[in-house]
Amino acid sequence: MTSRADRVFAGLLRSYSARTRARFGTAMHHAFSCELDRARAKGRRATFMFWCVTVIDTIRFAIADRAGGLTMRGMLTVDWRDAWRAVRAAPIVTLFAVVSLALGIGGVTALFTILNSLALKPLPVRDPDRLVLLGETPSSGNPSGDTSWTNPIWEAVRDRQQEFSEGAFAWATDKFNLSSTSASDMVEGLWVSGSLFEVLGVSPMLGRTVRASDDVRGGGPDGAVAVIGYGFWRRRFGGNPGVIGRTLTIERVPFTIVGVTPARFFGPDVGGVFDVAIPLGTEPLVRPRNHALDGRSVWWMNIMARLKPGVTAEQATAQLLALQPEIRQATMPPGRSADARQKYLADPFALVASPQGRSPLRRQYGAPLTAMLWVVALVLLIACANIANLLIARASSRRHELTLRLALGASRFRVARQLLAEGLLLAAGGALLGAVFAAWGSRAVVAQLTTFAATVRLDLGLDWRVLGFISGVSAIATILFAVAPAWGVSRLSPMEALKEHGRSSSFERRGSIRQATVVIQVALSLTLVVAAGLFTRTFFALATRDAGFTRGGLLLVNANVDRNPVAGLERSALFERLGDAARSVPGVSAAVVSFTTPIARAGMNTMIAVPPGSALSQRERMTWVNVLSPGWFGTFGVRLSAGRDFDSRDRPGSPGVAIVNRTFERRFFGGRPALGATFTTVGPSPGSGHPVYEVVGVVEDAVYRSLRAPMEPTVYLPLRQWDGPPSVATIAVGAAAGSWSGVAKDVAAAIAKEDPTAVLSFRSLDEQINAALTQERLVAALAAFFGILGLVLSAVGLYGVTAYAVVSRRAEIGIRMALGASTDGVVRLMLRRIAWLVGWGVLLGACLSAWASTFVRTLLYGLEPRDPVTFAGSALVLAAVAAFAAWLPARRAARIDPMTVLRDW
Amino acid sequence: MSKTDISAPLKPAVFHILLALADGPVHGYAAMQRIRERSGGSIRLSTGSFYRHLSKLLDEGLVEEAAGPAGDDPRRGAYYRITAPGRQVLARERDRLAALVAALDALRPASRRGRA
Repeated sequence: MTSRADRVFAGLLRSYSARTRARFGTAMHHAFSCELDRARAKGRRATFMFWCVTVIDTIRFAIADRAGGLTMRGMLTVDWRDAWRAVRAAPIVTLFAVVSLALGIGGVTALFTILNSLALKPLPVRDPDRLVLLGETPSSGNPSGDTSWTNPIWEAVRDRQQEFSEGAFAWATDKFNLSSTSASDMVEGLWVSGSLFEVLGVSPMLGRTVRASDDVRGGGPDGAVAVIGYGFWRRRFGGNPGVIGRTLTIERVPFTIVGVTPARFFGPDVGGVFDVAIPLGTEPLVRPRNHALDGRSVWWMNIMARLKPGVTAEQATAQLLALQPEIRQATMPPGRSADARQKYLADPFALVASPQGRSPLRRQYGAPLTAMLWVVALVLLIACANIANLLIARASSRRHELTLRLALGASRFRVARQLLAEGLLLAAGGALLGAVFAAWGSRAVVAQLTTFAATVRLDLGLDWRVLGFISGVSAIATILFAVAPAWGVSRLSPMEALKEHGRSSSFERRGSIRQATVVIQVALSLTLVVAAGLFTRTFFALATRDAGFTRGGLLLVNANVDRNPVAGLERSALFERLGDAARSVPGVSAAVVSFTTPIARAGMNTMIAVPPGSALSQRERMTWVNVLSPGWFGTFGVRLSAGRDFDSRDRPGSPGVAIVNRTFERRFFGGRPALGATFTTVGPSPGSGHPVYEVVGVVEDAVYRSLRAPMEPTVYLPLRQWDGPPSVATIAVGAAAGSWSGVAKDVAAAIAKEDPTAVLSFRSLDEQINAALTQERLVAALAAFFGILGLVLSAVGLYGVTAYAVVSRRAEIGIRMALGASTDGVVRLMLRRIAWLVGWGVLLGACLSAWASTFVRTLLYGLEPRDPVTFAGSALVLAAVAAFAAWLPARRAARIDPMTVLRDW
Repeated sequence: MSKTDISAPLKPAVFHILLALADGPVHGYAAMQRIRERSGGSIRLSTGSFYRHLSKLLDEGLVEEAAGPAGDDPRRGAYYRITAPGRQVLARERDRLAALVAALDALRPASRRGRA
């Protein structure tokens, strides 16, 4: 029986000489098989290391074997010294080669490092291979773990966990306010079930972790307890071991710190690091009036389980599916239609293998970062083409020396090795510098991901995957740029050393390799410029999109009044009073209250009742809802096109009123004016108990939640009539002076005076919008940076090729000029060939871009992947840069003095 | 082809290969295992390096192929044993080391006194 490993090794063995293979081949294979079995028994990492060692070992000794008498040591010393001398002889060329390699290698490695920690690294817990996420299998497609669950579902799963797993746990991320005043002091919070640490196998660094006995409603025997993360412990408590037993105020409730987790544990979500973890059971303490533990339609947590040893995720899913009917039946969300109830019961649970944990970031950034990885790989290829050119040029100028060596009896292998050694030196320099650049670059990119809403932290440490990647990439790069000149040696003849000297045509015949590299470089850089064009245009399209509201200038104050016992209409009135308090602050020009603000994460929707026989699908009947105080439209710059704004007439008890946007009018009133008409909603009415709403105003469309989405129907309802407001609302504050930096403190004080229990957090509307564009901004910036880099590298390459052509055709040009060729004619002569090459490159590049851009369709906004303007513009930019890069040396050709040339000839 | 110089100290790898074969004929992988065990894991010859040294020793006649036990698994490859010249090399290395040890032993009292 031959396995794949055996075949691979048999292939490796072929690198030995036939004699050695005949003598020891079988025995070597035997040794390999035995060692492989040993390594496999030790685990995946050992197996990987064994393969690395085997490949290196085989190559090393196969070279020694084939090179006959040459010992490894002799090879190392002699060649390196010569190579070092050659590399040092042209410091500018070397510097350029090393730096461009470093940028390429560093760039791909930086992105790989991020992708590695985001999607490849297993969680730093015991046996991550046995972890599964509870998800669902959609009617079409594969099981997905990206599902949120309610606490009743978790409790139902928890009570049955032994039947399909070794243990299960649930968690939810949140922001906790540690401040005991009205100012906020937000940290990264984690709600955990009592089983989380035990099932993951995370032992505390200090004290203890949260136990099952702590996860009881209202707190366990030790009361409300909290476990803090290592980073938080160092930051807040200076790493003081006496922190155990101290009190931490979370949302103004005292918690006792019982333990600190180790530094490497960041929580079950990849991308964030928790500061404080508290049991789910303490939620009623933190949110006394509207905790979510019994909420059958509050989807806020994730559930993970550890498979029993030897059980696959499929087997465990089958066991879980047997429990599904009772779990679903017991947790049915209220107020659902018969169809929705049926769907809820039928949606099959699935356990999805998740050794890498869960990561919302992975879904958001996986595709863009992978696209960027390919972009940088193109830059690396261009850099390799450049260096290949440089090395060929250098080998050409040393042609005489190389042929002389051959004539004196050096083997071709030895001379070629000499050139390879130079390439290896450059690659090693590039890889080392690239590793530094990667370490810096990956941190810089991750730092860009953090917004006010989410602090992104990733473990970007080196591991065997990153080291393997950087070595692999460097090796491939070396092969790409160092093999061509070494291969050229095989065409050299020792006789040439005796025949000519000084004036040689070219190292390789007719410079075909160099011409090919020009075409490839142009094609690759066109692709890069197209990518940069598509991504920057996407970003600017989003950043400058007419969102229907005025961007910037507003301070957004999130007010949480959960601690205040008022509810219903009284709570709405309280929000209005908080808004009034903010407006009374000197320097404040406007202060309005709303349930949500544009492009905030919160959203509310409802279904509009339509006449029977309507062509609108269920989905099309949905509309977004926002509830707001009078003056909101003016403050946000949303244009009122008909009717009126809300005012004091719209109070509890008066008829239900609504303002709708243009899209709503078009969709539900079919082009007739909505003003004065009425509509009703399906199911519980949002905002108020009114069954019927009268449209008193129509506003222009404004973006509700996503800058990328098209305008959607939206209904605005008056805050005063809202009988079921949640505990959080946003007060938008405009400053008279245009800047609210000095006003924020006064606003906080004024609101705290009105309601001392309110918990506030601040951000600006700009921050909110910028946070929504983080991904697009990052992708555009990276694409632009590497696009320009690629362009510069290509320009340098073109310059080099033209300059070389000028030098090697110096005599010819001199004669032409002596015979009366004009300066322009000479420049044209030099440019004509380059123009051909660039033309072919652009053609090839356009095809490459047209093919590659379809993969990034989902990342684009407002333009097609094959956007003709971007393609044409990129080709123009590239042609201009290429023309300039080639013109510089071509102009020098025109300055050649025919007399000098003829004299020298 | 450079000869294994028998007057100078043997390379550790060569020494250990000869030592492993001195116990009787063994096949290649078993010899590698013996070396690893005997050196307590401190000497780990890779497959490539082992066979490179072995090839030299064969060429120099210090080691020769030997018949394996009847019915042995042919995949293990040939068996090897040390030759008479090979034993001489080992013996000389033994003498050299013994002389060194003796020289060190002679120093020992002096160094003890020095420390006291």
